[in-house]
Amino acid sequence: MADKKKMKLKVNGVWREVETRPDRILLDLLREELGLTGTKKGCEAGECGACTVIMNGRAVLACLVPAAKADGAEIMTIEGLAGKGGLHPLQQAFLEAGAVQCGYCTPGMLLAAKALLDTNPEPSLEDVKRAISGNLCRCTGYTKIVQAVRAAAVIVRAERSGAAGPQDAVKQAKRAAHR
Amino acid sequence: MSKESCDVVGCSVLRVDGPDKLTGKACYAGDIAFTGMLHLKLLRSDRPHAKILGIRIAEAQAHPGVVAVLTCRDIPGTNRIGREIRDQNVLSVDKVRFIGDPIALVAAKTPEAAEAAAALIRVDYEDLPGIFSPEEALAPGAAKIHPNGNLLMEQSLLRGDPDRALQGADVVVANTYRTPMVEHAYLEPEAGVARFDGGNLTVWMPSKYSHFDQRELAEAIGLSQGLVRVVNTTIGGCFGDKTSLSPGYYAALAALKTGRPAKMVYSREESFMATRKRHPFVIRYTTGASRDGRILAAKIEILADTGAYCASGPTVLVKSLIHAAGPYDIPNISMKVTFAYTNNPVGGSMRGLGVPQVAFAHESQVDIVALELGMDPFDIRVKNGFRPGSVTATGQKLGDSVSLVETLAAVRAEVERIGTPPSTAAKRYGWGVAAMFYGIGAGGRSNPGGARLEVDDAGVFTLFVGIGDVGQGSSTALVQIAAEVLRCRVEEIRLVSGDTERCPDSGVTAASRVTYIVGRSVQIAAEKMIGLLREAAASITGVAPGSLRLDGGFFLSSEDPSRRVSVAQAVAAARGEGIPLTAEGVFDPEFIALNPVTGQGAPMATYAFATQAALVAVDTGSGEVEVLSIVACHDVGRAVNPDGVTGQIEGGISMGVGFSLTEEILLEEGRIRNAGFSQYFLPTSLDMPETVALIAEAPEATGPFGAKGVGEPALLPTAPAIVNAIHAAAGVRVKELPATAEKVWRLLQESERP
Repeated sequence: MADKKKMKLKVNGVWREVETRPDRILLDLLREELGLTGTKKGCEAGECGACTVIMNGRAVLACLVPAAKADGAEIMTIEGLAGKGGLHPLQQAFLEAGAVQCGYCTPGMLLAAKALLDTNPEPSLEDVKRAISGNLCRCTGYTKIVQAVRAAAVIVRAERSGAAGPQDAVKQAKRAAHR
Repeated sequence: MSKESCDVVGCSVLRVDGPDKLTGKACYAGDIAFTGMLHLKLLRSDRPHAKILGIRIAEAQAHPGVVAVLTCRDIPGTNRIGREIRDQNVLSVDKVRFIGDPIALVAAKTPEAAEAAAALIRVDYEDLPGIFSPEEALAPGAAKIHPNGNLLMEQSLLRGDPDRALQGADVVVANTYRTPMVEHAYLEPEAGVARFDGGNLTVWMPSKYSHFDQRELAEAIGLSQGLVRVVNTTIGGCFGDKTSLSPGYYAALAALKTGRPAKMVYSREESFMATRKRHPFVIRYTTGASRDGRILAAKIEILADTGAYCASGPTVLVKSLIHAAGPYDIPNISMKVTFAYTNNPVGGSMRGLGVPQVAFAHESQVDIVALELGMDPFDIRVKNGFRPGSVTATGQKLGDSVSLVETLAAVRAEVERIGTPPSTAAKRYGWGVAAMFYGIGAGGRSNPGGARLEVDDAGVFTLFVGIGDVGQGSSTALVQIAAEVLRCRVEEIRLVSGDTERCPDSGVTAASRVTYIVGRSVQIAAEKMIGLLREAAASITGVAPGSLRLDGGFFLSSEDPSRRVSVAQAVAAARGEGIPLTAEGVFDPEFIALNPVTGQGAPMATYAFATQAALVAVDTGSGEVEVLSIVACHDVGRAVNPDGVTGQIEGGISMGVGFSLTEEILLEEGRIRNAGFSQYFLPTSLDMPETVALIAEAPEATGPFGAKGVGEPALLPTAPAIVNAIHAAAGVRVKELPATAEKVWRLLQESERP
């Protein structure tokens, strides 16, 4: 068993110091040492996407990242997605679209979608499906999740351009899906 | 019942559990931690069928960090579990019956120590002959898996004279269909946490039936039921599993024996190896029809592998029998359904309870008959499909809530609107259609669901139900029903669910019964609550109770709207008079149990109906099937939450896509060869077709505001629609699921041979 090592990482905007075994996975570090249990453990083999977090701007599977690799890194977990003003547009769109069922894939799904919108603010249907294709969901059939991500993209773009977002982006996305 | 005008029921209100699930606050069992908590690991059998001669635990006990190593000798209780037959042990006694049977439990300070110590336990086995198919199990002289032999249950059904009707039929079609063993594959692996404080045991676990788990685990581990409290945690998917002998049971045992909090979480591999599965079926099906497309007779024989233990076998058997002839008025039917024990993983309840298997068979048969007769696949279904007053295979006359024909029409219109792309030599396109019916609730037995309402001094209502939301949204639907009756907003009702200490027994979250049965109980409780408060409000205002109506937190007089009394005032008045403000509702739908010989009866009070159509592309070079579109229309009675209903339909479709094309537990002498998501293929976002989810509403008089159910029906027509589409596209008939590329390619090769 490897010796414990001191490391520092910025989680949801706050620098945290932890002492952990460098061979631990980031997922256990987040859940057990930092108490951030919103990141879910579904397979510990990089196959389900439930533990997706954003590390240095990229969506990563926390079960495949050795803790040592996160030393000095900037990480966003589900606990850091909502801002002071309330839910992130993605969370709001998931809620309004009915994209949440059992909720176990939801944190990972949201962060995979956030990483997409951060780099591609105008994703096509195919872009969205591809971005979440490593995140398994057994409940929803992905339909409403994809709708929600597309609706959130509209809102995020509008927010960035300073304009008020269309209030009914989710409804529009639903209508578009049925055409 | 006419369609009532509602403000809350029928609206897609936001899920009550949505914000917590979206922000990471929702608490799943694996998220719970206590100081000094022990971590658990089971040693499971690696033999499919063997006697246990001895278990050597000394080395494991001596491993650093280990606090206890428990075997069957350490269990003070009955050590037996089983909802229908108690044939399974918490820890094996003298024999193991499948690879994964639990033998010894290690409790240690860390998960790593528990795992390392479990590997140090030595079991002395004497191997017994392994039985890996129901055919072998029932062969004369087969080794006995259980003392009474290998037959779990057999049930027959007879209606009319099918042999004679087949002789007179213009077309007779006989085929054998096979369906695979399937994994539930909820994203949350099973977990449980327990504490034993001051003689009381509390167990936190995702449970689809916490009151049952409370009773069963108390008896099994040897505590009086009153000392055990089961608290449901957020359930990360269930699909029929997650009850009985889950990690919560072992956490409870360890906490009881060590006095320390204990936690157990399954790995994904353990979740595959140890938990229950969808029963594999072999279905021999003969159908006879007249030249004009009337289905005259069906003869059906089903042989299913129920695995090492009974689990939900009898429930699945009965449900498959009730539905095996499909949603068609067929005057002459015979069936024989046989479930046999094997040394394979245990068959349990999984979304649809045996009906996805039979739906694949009956919808393939109807399609083949239509082809033989040159009939349109929609037309043959409309011609034979159930209508109000039709009689089912069990001889049950249906009521008014039957919209099968409407769902066929709606799907047909949508299919015609979408159209079919032109086929090429390399890619062939085709639509397939399938219909279904599904009885809501347990088949042929009582299944009450309790609900209780309370109101506080501020006039805020709290709804108590024993039922847990497995993700399908039942909590939201139940709160909506309460809010509709109490004429308030959803946000104004608190919900307490799945806690055996605080909630009434609502029965199990299964069989698509929660909205219909527990929802009706909620409606009854809410109406009683209004009655109690109205009396109090009447005594304040001095008007007759009958002239008061509740709206927006006030009782208003219809004669004089200015005379109004708030709920809080009514509460104060009632309390002043010593009236207890608790209202209970219990609905148990009527039924007539099936006759054990003829299979005749009225097993369920109401049925859901649906049609789905699939557009597929078949790659003639590789055999690969791509599902491009699914159109679904489901008669749910009344959609309490339309987005919730379409969410169920879309999710059911994805499970149906997996069932039809990719999902299959591969077994080798009882050992699962693909225990993980890299080898067991769930549909991803890229595999999902465009879906159109439509709702038909034929209100059910006994349901809350006309509602029935949708959770399981959502999945049932998908696989047969896809298989029928494969035939429409490429001319090959898949009779064994899943329709993998290799299987379809072989069929294409065979069809091209002269």
